[in-house]
Amino acid sequence: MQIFLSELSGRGVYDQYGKRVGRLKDLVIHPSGSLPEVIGLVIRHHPGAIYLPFRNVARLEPEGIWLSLGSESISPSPPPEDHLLLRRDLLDAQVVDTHGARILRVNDVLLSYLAGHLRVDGLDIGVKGLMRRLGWMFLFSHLTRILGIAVPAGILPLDTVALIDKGAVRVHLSVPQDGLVRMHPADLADLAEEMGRQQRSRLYSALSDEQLADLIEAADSSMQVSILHEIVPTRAVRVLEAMEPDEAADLLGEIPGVESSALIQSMTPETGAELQQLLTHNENSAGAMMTTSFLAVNGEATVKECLKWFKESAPEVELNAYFYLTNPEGQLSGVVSLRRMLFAAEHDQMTQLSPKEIYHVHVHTSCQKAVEMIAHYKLLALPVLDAGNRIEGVITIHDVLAYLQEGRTK
Amino acid sequence: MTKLTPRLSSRIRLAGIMAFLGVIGPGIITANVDNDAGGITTYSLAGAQFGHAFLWTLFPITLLLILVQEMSARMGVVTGKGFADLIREHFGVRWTFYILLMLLVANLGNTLSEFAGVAASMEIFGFPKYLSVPLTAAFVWWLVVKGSYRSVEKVFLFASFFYVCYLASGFLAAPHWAGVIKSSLIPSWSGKPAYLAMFIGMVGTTIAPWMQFYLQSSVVDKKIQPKDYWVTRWDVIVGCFATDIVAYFIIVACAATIYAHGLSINSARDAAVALAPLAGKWASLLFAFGLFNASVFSASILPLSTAYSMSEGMGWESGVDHSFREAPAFYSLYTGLIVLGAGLILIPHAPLIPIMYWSQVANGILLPFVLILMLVLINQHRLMGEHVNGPVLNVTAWVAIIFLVLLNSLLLLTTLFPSFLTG
Repeated sequence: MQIFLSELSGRGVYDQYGKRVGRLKDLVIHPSGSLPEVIGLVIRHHPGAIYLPFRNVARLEPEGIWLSLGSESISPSPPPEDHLLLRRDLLDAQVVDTHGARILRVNDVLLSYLAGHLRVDGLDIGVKGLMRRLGWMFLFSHLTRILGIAVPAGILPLDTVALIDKGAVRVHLSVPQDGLVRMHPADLADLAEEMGRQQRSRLYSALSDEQLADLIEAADSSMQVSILHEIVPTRAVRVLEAMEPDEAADLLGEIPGVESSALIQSMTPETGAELQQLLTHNENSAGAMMTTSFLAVNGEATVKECLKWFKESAPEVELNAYFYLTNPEGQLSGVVSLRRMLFAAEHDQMTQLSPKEIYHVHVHTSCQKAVEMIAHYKLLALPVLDAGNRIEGVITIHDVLAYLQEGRTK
Repeated sequence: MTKLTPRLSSRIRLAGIMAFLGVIGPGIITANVDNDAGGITTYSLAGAQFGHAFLWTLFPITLLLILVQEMSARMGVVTGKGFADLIREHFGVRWTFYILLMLLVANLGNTLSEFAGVAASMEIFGFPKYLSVPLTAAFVWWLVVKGSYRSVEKVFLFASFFYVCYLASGFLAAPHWAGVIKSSLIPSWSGKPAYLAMFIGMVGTTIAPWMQFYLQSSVVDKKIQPKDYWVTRWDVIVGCFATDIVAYFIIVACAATIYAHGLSINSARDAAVALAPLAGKWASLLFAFGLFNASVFSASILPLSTAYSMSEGMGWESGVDHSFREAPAFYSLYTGLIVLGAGLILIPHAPLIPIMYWSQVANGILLPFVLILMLVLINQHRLMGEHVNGPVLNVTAWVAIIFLVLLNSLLLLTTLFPSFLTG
């Protein structure tokens, strides 16, 4: 038998002799498990609410609940701590639909009663649930039938839902929380934007530093700043270090100078110096747009050596499309695509594979110019050189997309 | 490795200022929308019928406005949630639904009066309403749906400056400044029903239910951090003062001219027209332009704020960042309010008076609920933490709100039973 929480709550609870104990106030479920089972009920009673384990229920019907014990053996007792109360914690709360990546509100809870067990089947997030709660279901269903409108049921299965709590409830559904963490960072960034402050901070603490770094990279700039302000400074430092240097530098450029220098000083010297360097570039220059992670090898090396190095050290760079070649002075001397290397002979020298013309820009070149070159020559990335023609970073196609998108929304 | 010396590039310095500017906006915009077509009408009538008698009331009204608005802003900053969200989570779906339904009815009437303001002010400039109203409606719709909210906010902040029109208009009316200052400082009172009704109207038009929803949502939307809250508080205070300074000059302008010559007017449009022979063409045109600006400004905000709050409370997708397919309810509400609000003005013999009347009633019923729920919410420790009201503020707020609710009940009674005060 399937029944909605709104239909069940407020129903009479009777003892084994049929004597009325009180009204059903709430249902308690165990916080873990994928198909949460109702483990107890809270009965509204004078002078205090009564908590009873669900095993004392003999019979559950839409009309009421009959217990297997006498009312003389029942005494007021509070529900166990750290458990989820369906009405208090779930009804009217916001949840994340992890498949659709949207935030919804719970209008009702669908329960199923089978062989003495009451389980949560799903959450009602549809119009029907709303009408049922408002007490207009009768009118609504007649109207839709007459008009011939098919209203979707609007039930979400619980395993695709993540609870983000209402108010300051301490309990969590352990399994669905994982669902939230597994979502794509870009979707999570959108969701975080719609969450309340407490929900956001809970989400951030559920994520690892790397996951939060990914989320920040996917968020828009004003959101990035607020995330940075909503986590403790020590974590902000770790997260900034985990981000792509160009993204981190862009973010540091958005906050007041005092704050950004304080953050930079707490970082490891290498990362700090790198970000400091990136920050000094003018906002509209290639230097500010570029990322400083790229693959650079000695031009004298052979294809075999390069591929071996690549496989063994698996450097974490934003884009793996090109190997940049340098001469002994550290200047850019060539560029070879990974594809070209895969089809080349193993003992070929990298320099031999490089085209004569190397497209590049300097750190002071305008973003606009860099974007035009990437589009014109159909490149995946463009190296950025300093005054001495040493490679400082690369502008990837992702940087270009972000730049264009930002220009559109500003 | 040597210690890093902070090198300030132009980029960083600019960012600091931008961060500050990034916080202001919600308070000033909300307060200015408060001086909408309805507000300007009330203040014009107050000046035209009672001269300087109401000038002093603007001081306590400003303080009341600040008191109420500050709590909304604080709730938004601390919880990061909209007012409708909080009502839904703490009082359940029924309260939320009926409160929002009332808000919808009230704001439909308000939107209608904004478009009426557009029609009236543009007629002074010689544009027929069949041209001005549809064009304004299309512009308002386009601005919000096609632009991002951040760009729209900049347009609104810019529009706030046009309220200077009323200051200019006030000076052009060449008031008797000594008398103005004297009446502003020394409270006067009258037990006459017409005076009481105007007093209630002044308070009613300044503190309206929609503001609580709009201010909180826009504070939330900007993700203002608790550490930046002091900026928001100033944003609210400056906004409230600015809005009542404008009201002050409207009263001064109308008192120096229309009241001084013993003329009688019924609307803000009448006031603008009457200013021409008395204070010159410029005073009249500035007054009319101010009305137009205020009406367009409010006509953009009210439908948007209503659609946001409704969607928020009901758990529907909302916001102009979504497509129509993703947020059908939000767009339908937003578009529907504009189309209805503008459309009803253009239909000959449309029942405008009954609609405005019932919207006034909805406003009146709604305000006590909104204020009391707000006070209950802001005192919840688990919601606000250390940012709950202090004891002094709380007592002040309760006294103020009881006073507002009483005044409001009087307003409601005079609306429902016009002979209530006159006996």
